[in-house]
Order: sequence, then structure tokens, then C-alpha cells
Amino acid sequence: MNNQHEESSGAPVTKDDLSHLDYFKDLKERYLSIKDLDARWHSIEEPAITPDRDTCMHIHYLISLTRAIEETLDSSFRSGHIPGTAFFGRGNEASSVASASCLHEEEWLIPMHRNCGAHLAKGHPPVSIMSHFFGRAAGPSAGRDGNFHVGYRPKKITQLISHIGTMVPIAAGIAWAEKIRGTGRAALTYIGDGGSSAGDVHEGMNLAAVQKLPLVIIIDNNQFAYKTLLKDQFACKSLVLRAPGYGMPGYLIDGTNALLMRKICGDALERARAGEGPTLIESITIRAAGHSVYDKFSDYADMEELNKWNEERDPVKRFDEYLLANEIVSEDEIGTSHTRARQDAEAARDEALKNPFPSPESVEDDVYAPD
Amino acid sequence: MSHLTYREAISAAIWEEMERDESVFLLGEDIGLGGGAFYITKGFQERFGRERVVDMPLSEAGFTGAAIGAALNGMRPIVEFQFADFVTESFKMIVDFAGGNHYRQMGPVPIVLRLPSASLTSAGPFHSQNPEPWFFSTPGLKIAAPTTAYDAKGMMKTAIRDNNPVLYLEYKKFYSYPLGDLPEVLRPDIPDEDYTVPFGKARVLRKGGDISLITFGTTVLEALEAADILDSEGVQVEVIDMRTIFPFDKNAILNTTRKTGKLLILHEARKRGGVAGEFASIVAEEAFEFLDAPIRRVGAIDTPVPMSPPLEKVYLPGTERVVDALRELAAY
Amino acid sequence: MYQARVRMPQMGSSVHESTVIEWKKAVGDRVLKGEPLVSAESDKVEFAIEAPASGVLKEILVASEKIVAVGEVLAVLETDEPFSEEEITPPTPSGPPKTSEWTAPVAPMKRERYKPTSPRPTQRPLQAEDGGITTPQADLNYNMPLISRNMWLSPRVQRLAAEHGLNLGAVASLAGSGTNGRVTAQDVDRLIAAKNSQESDIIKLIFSPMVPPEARERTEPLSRLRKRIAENLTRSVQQIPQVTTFLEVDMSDITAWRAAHKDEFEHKHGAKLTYNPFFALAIIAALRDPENERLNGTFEDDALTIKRYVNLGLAVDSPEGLMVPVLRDADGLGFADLVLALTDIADRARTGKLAPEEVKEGTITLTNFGASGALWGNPIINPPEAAIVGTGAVAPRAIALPGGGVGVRPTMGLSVTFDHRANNGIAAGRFAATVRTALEGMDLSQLEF
Repeated sequence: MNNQHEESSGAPVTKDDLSHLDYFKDLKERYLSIKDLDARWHSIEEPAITPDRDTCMHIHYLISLTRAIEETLDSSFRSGHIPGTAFFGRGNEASSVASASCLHEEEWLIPMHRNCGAHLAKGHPPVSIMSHFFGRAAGPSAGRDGNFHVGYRPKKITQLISHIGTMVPIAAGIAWAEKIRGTGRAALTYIGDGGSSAGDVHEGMNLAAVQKLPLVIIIDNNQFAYKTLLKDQFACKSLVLRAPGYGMPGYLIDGTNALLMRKICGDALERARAGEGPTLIESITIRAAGHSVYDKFSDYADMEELNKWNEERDPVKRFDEYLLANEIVSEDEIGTSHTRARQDAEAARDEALKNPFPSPESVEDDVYAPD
Repeated sequence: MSHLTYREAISAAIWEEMERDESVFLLGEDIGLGGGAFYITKGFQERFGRERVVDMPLSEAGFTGAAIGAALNGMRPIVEFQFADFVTESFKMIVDFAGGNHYRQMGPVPIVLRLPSASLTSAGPFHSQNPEPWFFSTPGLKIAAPTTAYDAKGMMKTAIRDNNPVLYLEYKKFYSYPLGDLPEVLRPDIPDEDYTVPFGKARVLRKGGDISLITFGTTVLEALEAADILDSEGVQVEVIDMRTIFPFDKNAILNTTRKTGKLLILHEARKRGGVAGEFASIVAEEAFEFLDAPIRRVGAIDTPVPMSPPLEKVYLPGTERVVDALRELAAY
Repeated sequence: MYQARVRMPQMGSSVHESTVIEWKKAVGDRVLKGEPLVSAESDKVEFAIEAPASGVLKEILVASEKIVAVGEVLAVLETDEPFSEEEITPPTPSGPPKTSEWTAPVAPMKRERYKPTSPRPTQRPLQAEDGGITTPQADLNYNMPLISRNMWLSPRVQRLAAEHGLNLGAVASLAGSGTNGRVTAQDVDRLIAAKNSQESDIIKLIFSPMVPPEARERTEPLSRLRKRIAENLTRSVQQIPQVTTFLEVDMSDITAWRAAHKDEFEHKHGAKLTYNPFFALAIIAALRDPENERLNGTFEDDALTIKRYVNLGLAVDSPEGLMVPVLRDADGLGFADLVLALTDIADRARTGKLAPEEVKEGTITLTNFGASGALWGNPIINPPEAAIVGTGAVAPRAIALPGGGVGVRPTMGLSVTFDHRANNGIAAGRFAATVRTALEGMDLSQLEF
């Protein structure tokens, strides 16, 4: 990641620079002109297919758990339990959970650092995630890495590296193996709005398209790349426009709408499994917190506007409201789900804190794979 | 038993492994339809199909990453770089991802990166380089440097079967080198049956008691030529081919130092930061008491690789520079 | 003012003529070397003919549309510089260049065999471009003088010394075969090998009588020759009051020179180069000094006859007994002749082929008992000579060095026994000292053979 410990400096950003918060509205107008280019727009008003009640509750729990785990990790950081730094994806819960929930057990997930929800949807035990953050031997990397550089091999989740963009070609390769072996399985990966500028993303997407690999790529456009705004990141009207450039279908959606993401991503994965090649999904959310635990968000973002967004579009709240508005579950059940999520998160933290640190003698182990 | 050229040996090894193991597949630029810039994979696509011999777009970082991803998911890809010089496009994928993945407990990365390396008359700055100094200090990688057809075949199989990322340096100069022009020690017979050459085991090309000459890669030719000249002057030079750069045969280096007390380390890569520095330091640390003279290194001069023949001749460590160094050592 | 002729070039090996198309310049125009003067055509390829030199176009000899044979003169230029026609640069055709096919680098590369003639690259150290802020180079003093260099022992040499119990001083004083006399590991290996072979000379102790009872003694009467020799020796000891004076001689230079040249000498002259000739030369050199003349002659009837020529006697141990053949006029011989002559008389003494006059009329004798290994000895004068010079074995011994300190050098024990009636101790001592000086300071570069 970019400099994690850098203090912000410079003049505060003015409201005029925050036109991206109206990104949504602008795009809706622009939609009319990009319609012909095979990029489909789905608004928040368009009804999404609602799954059965149990599935909805499961997704609700996962979304809530994602929020709870990240808040718990945040407070753990402030209590000194996390060596190094931590990144969180507040605002990205619905998008991550909903997309990854469409993956089958045997399919690979290649997440980035704000896709905690994807880990959970794929079945990564919370205690494992936390042990990793706390640098314990029981973590998936045995303390060799930290932060959200966490994978989980039993559930086919890869561990990312700091160099942004790297994972897209890696994901393409994973999908490629499925294609060669004819398994009919797909793979799912993510990249940020800033990350999408990296050269590897171009190479990976091009390769996926030209080789018709069974890969779904989600651009988590949370409108901030550390301290860089979208207007400094790319000049095209929308990142989804790159999809026709590569020869793959592209979708631009409201990423705070869990069920909409579930539909679009689910369809994309089905197409991939059927051998129809990759899909690009641009998911608009907001980065509701700083870049990392060290980042002073208020130094460069208008907190007033941000809070307004969160009022209107916080994904956890939105899903609560949706379920209640459509009378799928009761308020009590929602409350129970949130409570359970919080308790599970705290229990996972307590258990993780009991796990020992790796022994110093183990530092030279496993540099090489055995025969 | 047969005699194959270096190129034929590499081709044969890959072919045999592809027949043996379905998870082996090839990716690289121009390798399928065109059989590769150096024709190593000529005929492969016809035999193994477009699924297993895949022409890549011009994106080394992208397809190296894809190879790594495929390796994470159970395949054993072999990536062909058209020239070793282009490996820098994939530096991050190799060093930051592949090198550390197993250490970070995220599983083995069984990939082979084929790198046509070293000079080839007047090929210029971007088609002549020796990449091993850039990767030598990255843990998790292995670097193979075969010089004979026998080693090339055996070590390619070892590389493919190894569960770690292997940079397999192919010395372009040797691809079509006429067997008749090679000294006999560099063209051993090739068995018909399956065989491998292990990593980390050096080979003594010539025995001698006065000076030890450690080398690898193209400079085995200069080493043997210089040893012959010194022989006629009454100085016996022991020539050792390291064969793999990492893991390297440390004991071979230490044993020969103990035997002669005078050491010259030679490689085509530039002297500064070259692997010779590591070998020399190890000797200084572990066999200091056996040294009768300062350790000498000979490598290319510290400039980019020039194109024009008179410049390239000065750049490369030719036989005369080796002979000069050997004579100085002998007289010390 | 010079002239340059512009000729029709050959545009291909099978082209014999071309057609002049159009003159680009007119008479009187100033032209630069290389400027196109006229266009022409051959085999449907149009090309331009360039000015071969700078100057003024003086004369045009061929008009357009004319066909001209290759080599014919088309025009004349007046030039400022003299022009030689070999300088004509071939004109370039103006048609499209031939494309060559790109061949992939798969053809075998012919490797040049090593030829030790090309220039050596010098690795220039990286120049500081920061205005000399880098640390200046310390004086590293690589070229140590010889004596210090000998004390510099590499780690391997020191380890060998430690392993084999060699004294470091002994190792340091070896004549090193490395650069500037450095003692190399190979030198020490040789020393160790030599030491190992020496140590095998251990005397075995046996605890029983040497011989059976019947063989315990036997009597051997002297032969006639031995009786005469014995008489001579007895008379010498009985009649001459003889005293011996002793000196130690540093034989380093002679030892080194001899080691370096003996093979060549033997190869050239067929005779072994022993220490005898050097001793002989030193004696002769010492006797050239009139101060020492009294040591060279005969003492009889209370008178010393000083001889100003040297008939050098050489004591030789032969099967028949001690023989002392005399080399007449030894002082006139060149080095090679001296060696050969000494070798000759020694051989003939051993084989009993000396003529009677060859054992007479010596003026001084040399006895090299060092050949038997003895370090010191006090020889007996061969009457009626006034003195005899004895030389012991040349062996490494600790001696005081000229610069102070102690070193190990090949050293020889020199003795001069003199007839005290003819000379006093001081004279004998001076003579011995001169012999020593002659040996230590011998100008070996003059020894031609």
C-alpha cells in the first residue's frame, strides 16, 4: 500500500472538489450515451431478484459480521494488539459479501484489502483473520505477513501482496487453470479505483478476455485512492468503459445494494462457468473511513459530505431498511443478527488473542517448498 | 546414448515432461504458432494442442502473474521469456509474489521461467544480459545455469518437477553451438532413459592443483581455454562449473580452495554485484586460512552491454583477461 | 589549383555502361564534396554521381542521354586540394534499398579462438563526480621491499607452518618463489616434503655385539703410497708450527647464483658446478692484494719464498689416499676453464691418473672438507707451502644481518692454517678476512660461461 504512516498535510479539500459524491447522478445521465457500448446500468430503483428468507438472513448476518469484525479489529489496533498497520473496508460490506456469496465452495476467491466481507462469505473463520492481524502463529501466514494480506487455503482464498494490480493477472491464471482442466469453475477478484490504473490490471484483463478465462473482476470504486480523488485517477467517464475496450461485458452498479450485486455478480459467474469468458463489474461505494488506521481522513475529505453519504447509503443500514421495507424479516430478527455478529466478532478476538506468537526459531522455515 | 545440441536437449526435456505430466503447460510470446524465437517449442502446439501451448499477448508481467496463479491452482506452467532481458517486466511478480508465497504459508509456486541469457555477438544492451544478480538475493527462488546439453536436459526436468519457482537460464550462445567445436568435456553423452541433474551440485571440468577457477554459464569456454594455456606454462588450473547459481555447491568452492589456495571466480555477468562477490565472501569467511593469494574475480566491465564488436570484445570477459588473472595468481 | 576527374562509376558487377540523364550543376558552379552533380541510369536503376571533391565545375564532357562506359570521364573539377582518384566514394543508387530478410538468431555463432593480441580493457575506478568529496585513497603500500616481503606470510602459509610445527622465522627466511620473493604455500609444501624425507634418517639402536668373535679386529698395513702420504703429514705436523684461524662466511649470494646457474652450466660444459671454483676464485682474488702475498709461497731453510702466481693445490680424497693435485697458474684461468680444470684434476686424482709433476710445486692448497659435512676443521699444511685454506659445509645457520637482527643464511666455516714461522696471526687473519670478503662480495655478474 502507499505510505501507511504518512501524516496528511496541505490545505483541506473544498466542497467543489467533491463533485464525485454526485458521481451517481452524473453517471445516470451519462448512461444514456454509453448504453450502446454494451455497458449496462442498473439503478437503485430497479428491482433486484430477492432470494429466499434464509439466504437473506445469511447475507444480513455476513454483512453485519463484516462490520463487527472490522470495528473489533479497529479497537484492537487502538489497544495495541495489531503489530504494523491495518486497512478496513467500511462502506464495502454489502458489495463484498454479496459478490463472494455467489462463489461455489470449490472456486477460488482472490480478494483485496477491503474485501473482508468476501472472506467471510467464502467461509474464512473470523478467528483465523484476527490471529493473522495479531501476528500469531495460528494465523494463515504463521505471522509471516499481517494486515489484510491474509489468505486461507482451505477455502481457496489467496493472499495478496502490497503491489496493487498484481492480483488481477494472478486471478486470471487461477481461472486459466480451471479452464485448462475443464472443471467448469470460475474465479472472482477485486481491484480498487486507484488500483485499476496499474499496468498489470490491463495485462490481466486483456489476457482474461483474449483467452476467455472464467473470471469475474469487480472494481471496488470507493472514490478514494488513499488521498487521490477520481479526477486525478482516470480521464474516462467511468471505469466500466474499459470493459468494451477489452472485449468483455461490463456492469456499473450501486455497490451498497447487496442484492443487486448478488444478481449481477451471480449472473457473471454463471456466464464464466459456461465458458463465455470474463466480466467486469464496477461497484460504486464510498470509503467511509481513512485509507488505513493511521490515515487522518479529515485532513483531505469533507467529513460533512461524507457523513451525508453514510446517512443515505451505509450498506448495513440499507440492507436493514430493505429487509424491513419488504417485510422479509422482523426488527427483532435484525437486532438478533447484529447482536450475534458482534458477539461472534468479540469471541473470535478473544480466542485469537490467546494464540501464541510464532517462535523465533521458526523464522528460517519454509522459504522453499519441499519436493 | 546420443548427442543432442543444447537446444535439442531443452526441447526434449520439455516434451518428455509434457507427456509425463498433464499439468505442465507452456506460455510465452510466439511459442505456439511460431515455435518460439529460438525454435525450442517447434512442433509442440501440433502435438500438445492450443490449450497447452499458448501464445501470449505482449504482457510479461501479466502472463507471469497468470502463470503463478495457475501454479497456485494445481498447474505446472513453463513461461518462456523471449530474452532474459525482458524478465524485468515481471520482476515484481517473481520477487514479491512468487518468491515469498511459500514462506507466507500460501502454498508452493511450481513455475519454470525460461530465460535466454547472456551475450550473442552484438546483440546489444537488451538482448545480452545475465539476470541472476537481480534475483540472487531473493529468497524462495532457484536459479539454474546449465552449460551442456546433458545438464540442460536433466536440469530442465528437475526444474519442472521442483515445487519452487525456478529461473532457468538458457545460454543462447550454446543453442546451436556445433558439437564438434566444443571441448569434449562439454559434450557428454546423453542417456536415452529418463534422468535428472540435481540442483546445487557443481561439476569439475578439469582437475588441477595450482589454481581453482570457479565459473558457470558461457564462460566455461573461456575457462577451459585459459586453463589449457596455463597448462602449457606449467600451471595446473582446476576448472569447476557451478551449474546452479542458487542453490549453489558451497562445498565444491571450499574444497577446491583448500586444495589450491588460489581462487579465481569468473562469470559473464558484470563484476560489480555479481554472484562472484558472494562466493568470494564465503571463501573469505569460511576458508580464509587456506588462501595463499587474494581472491580474484573476472566479469564483464561495469557498463551496459555495448553493441559494436570492438566494444563488446572489451566488455566481455574474454580468454585473455582470464589468462592475465591466472598468470598473476600463479606468480603471486 | 588541382584537378579532379569525375568518372562513370560501376553500379553492379555486371554493369559496363550507364546513361547520363541530367546535369544538376552547371559549368562555373561551386560544388561541395559529395554533392550530386549528375543523374545517370543503368539497368533501370537511377542513381546520382557525386562530386568526388570540393571545387568548381570546370568542364562537362558528356551531354544528357549519352551512354558512357564505366570509368570514362564525365566532367572535370578544379579543386583546392590535390585529389587522388582512389578517393572516389562509390555513388549511392536512388532506388529503394534492398530489404534483407530478418533471420532469427539461430545460426551457429562462430566463436573466435583465443588470440593474445587484442587490447586489454583497463577497469577505470568509478570517478567521484561530487567534487572530490569521497574519502581520499590511503597509501596502501603494496610494493613492500624484499626483506619485509619475506616476513609477509599468507594465511595458508601460516596454517601449514602451524600444522607441521614449522618455526615461522624459518619459513619467513626461505627463498620465496612468489612475487618479490614472497614465500608461497608451495615453497612451504616443498620444505615440509624435504623435512619429512630428512627425518627418516633415524639411527636404529641395536643391543647386541656388532660382529662375531672371530671378526672383532683386523690389521691393515699401509700401502706404499699411503705410507708416503703419512710421512708427509707427520713431517708437517712435527716440523711446522702451524696455527689455524677461523672465520664464518655468508654464502647467500653464491648459493643463490649457483642454484640458478648450475643446470645451465652442466648442460653447456658437461661438468658439475661445485663450490670449489668459487673458493678458488676467492683465494686467488685475496692473493692479488700484495698485503696478502706472504700467504702464497713456500717456507724452506728459514726463508719464505713469495710466489706471485698461484699454483693451487686441491685436496682430493681418492681410494688410494689423500691426493693433492696442483692446478698450475690457476690465477690466469677464466671461470669456465677453472671449473673444468678443477673437475679434471679431481677426477684424475680419484682415478689415479695424475702425472708425477702434477702433485708438485703448489703455492697454496684448498681443502674442501665441507663435502663430508663437517662445519669447521683445522687442516694440516702441505709442506713446504706457507698456508692451507679449509672450507666447511655450506649450511643454513643463524647469523647477524647487516641491518641488525638475526637471520638464517647459508653459511660456511672458513679456516686458514698458516706456518707461524712465515707469517703472524694478523697477516693470516687479514688473508682469511679477504677471502671472506671475496666470497661474500663476489661480483657474480662477471662469471661468464
